Amino acid sequence: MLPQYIVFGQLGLIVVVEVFTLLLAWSYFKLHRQNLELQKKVAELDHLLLADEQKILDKARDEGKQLIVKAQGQAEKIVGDAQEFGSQSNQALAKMLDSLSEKQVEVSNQVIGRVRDDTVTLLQELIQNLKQHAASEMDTFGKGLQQEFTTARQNAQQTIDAAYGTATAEVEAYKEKRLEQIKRQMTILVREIVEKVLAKSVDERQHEQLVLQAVEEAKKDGIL
Amino acid sequence: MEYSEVLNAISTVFEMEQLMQAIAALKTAMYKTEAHVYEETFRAKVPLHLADLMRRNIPEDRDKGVEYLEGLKEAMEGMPVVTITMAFHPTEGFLAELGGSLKELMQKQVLVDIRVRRLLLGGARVEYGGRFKDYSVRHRLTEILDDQSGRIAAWGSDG
Repeated sequence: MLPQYIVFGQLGLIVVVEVFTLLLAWSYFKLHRQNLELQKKVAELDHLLLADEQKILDKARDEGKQLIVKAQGQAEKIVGDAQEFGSQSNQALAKMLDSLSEKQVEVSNQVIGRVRDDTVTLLQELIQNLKQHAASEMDTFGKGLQQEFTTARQNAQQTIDAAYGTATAEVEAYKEKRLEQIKRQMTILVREIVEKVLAKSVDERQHEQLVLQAVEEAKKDGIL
Repeated sequence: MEYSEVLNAISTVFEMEQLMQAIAALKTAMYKTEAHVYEETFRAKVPLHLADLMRRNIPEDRDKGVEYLEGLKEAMEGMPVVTITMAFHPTEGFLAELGGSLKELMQKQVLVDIRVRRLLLGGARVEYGGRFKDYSVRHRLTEILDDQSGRIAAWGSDG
């Protein structure tokens, strides 16, 4: 059996814990209720804000419409004023034109005539200058053409002369070559003929006589 | 010593060269003790047509004999030479005739150097003392052909 004070002590402790638990629960409920209230207020405030924004927009739209209408009115007025001014100006101008005197017309005609004469003179001078320039260009072109023609003719003549010289030299060389060939062939032919003729017609003594004759000629020629 | 008899007997360079070789051989043979050596050399080397002349002119004394041979050699070397080129091989008779003709024309003894070239066809080329002239048939033909070639070339130019 536990002592009595311990039992009372335990009971006292349980009571304290219970009390503390109750306090804690009460605090929780209190906080929860405050939270709900705050959420509600926030929702109200949001609602209020949205309503204000819509109002501002509506007000701005209305003001804009009013401004546009007002501007249109002013614009129509300005256009009307301008048309009226133009009409008045035309009328004034017509009046001014009507008021030009014959003298002024004559002066104008004189000015126009002078301008026309100046223009004609200028054109005539221009044509004359063009003629002179064209003549000068033609003269230069003609001289250049003549120079080119002369040079071309000289070049052609040189080319012809060179070709003729080459051809002549080739012909001469060919002729020399052919003559040399003919001479060789003639020499061979004549020698063969002479050999045959000498063999038949010239005897040993006649050969000896030719040698003796050669010696005598050498003496006469101063060789011996 | 007198060499004219022997010199008159030779007319060509060929004969002179034969005699030169004979002289060289005889000089060597003279110093041999055997007498038959000299005799054999003489018969073998000295041209037949000169043998008698040589026997008569070479002294029997060895030293004088050598002296004679050396003198003869020098005399031959000093003889003038006429070079004649001809188209045929000459006979000995013609060579003698040619030698005589040359001696008569030149008024002195000369040697003939004979050369044969058939292309000459006939006649001769004569050369003496650095001078030369062609009297051959071939040369005369060539001159004629050159002249004819000139005429042909002239025709070509005219044409």
